[in-house]
Amino acid sequence: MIAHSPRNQTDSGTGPAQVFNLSLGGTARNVRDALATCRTRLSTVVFDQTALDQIELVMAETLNNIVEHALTGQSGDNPISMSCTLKGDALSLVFQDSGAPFFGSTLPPTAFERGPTDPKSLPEGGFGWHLIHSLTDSVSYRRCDRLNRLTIIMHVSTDFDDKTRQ
Amino acid sequence: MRLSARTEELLQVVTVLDNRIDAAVALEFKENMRQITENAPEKVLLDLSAVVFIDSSGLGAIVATMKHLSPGKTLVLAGLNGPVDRVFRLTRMDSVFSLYPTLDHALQDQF
Repeated sequence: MIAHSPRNQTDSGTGPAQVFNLSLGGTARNVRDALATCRTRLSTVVFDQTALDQIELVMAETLNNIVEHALTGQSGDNPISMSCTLKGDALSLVFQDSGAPFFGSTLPPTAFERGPTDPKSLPEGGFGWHLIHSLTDSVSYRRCDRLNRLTIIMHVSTDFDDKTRQ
Repeated sequence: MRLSARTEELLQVVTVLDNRIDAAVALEFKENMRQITENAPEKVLLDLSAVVFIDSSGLGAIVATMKHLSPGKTLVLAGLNGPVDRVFRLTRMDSVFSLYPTLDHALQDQF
């Protein structure tokens, strides 16, 4: 995992503030290590533990999806980059990888329907996208220059006083 | 992926000793659970009180464990911390599994 230096802040302090910017290898272990680093950085701007848990889960599901689908069978150093910025209460997570595009270059469907079923016939996967959509405000995908670029927006409270009063 | 198990007459309690069930350990968890519950009595109680993070791979591994149990055997989950409980509720798996906030609550309800 490589942590990049913060990029220059935008002029006049009104632009988004960078929380982290790093790149990582495409394995589940790399993902686990990166999540720990990101959570530490996030905890300096987000003080609510539940919000931190939710952001961590969204990052985990997104990165797992990249590792398991986009990068299957590919090698190379640190093929995933991830950055996080905060503007007001809008947390923006941008994931970029050089793996295979989503089929048809669109996001998988978000529907998560399950009728009454025999528990023994339950699916053992397919929960990841549902979790991402449940916990985020917007998810957008773009395929550009042979790169996948996924942008996720989550609104989070960054008010320390609010949370300590509760 | 460290697990410990103790079996009483009609109940096996399996305790997860690690604090994450994520994509890095999901397969190992599933395989260890399969072995540990092979000769389990009719009720298996999975104690998750040490677990503070689970992702959809971990959830899938728990579903697989439940499906692998012989017919007539049930898997009950106990000690769900906030982040774990949330994943079960968001995926509506709380309607599939019996969930208990603590091991004691679960044990009381079994007899």
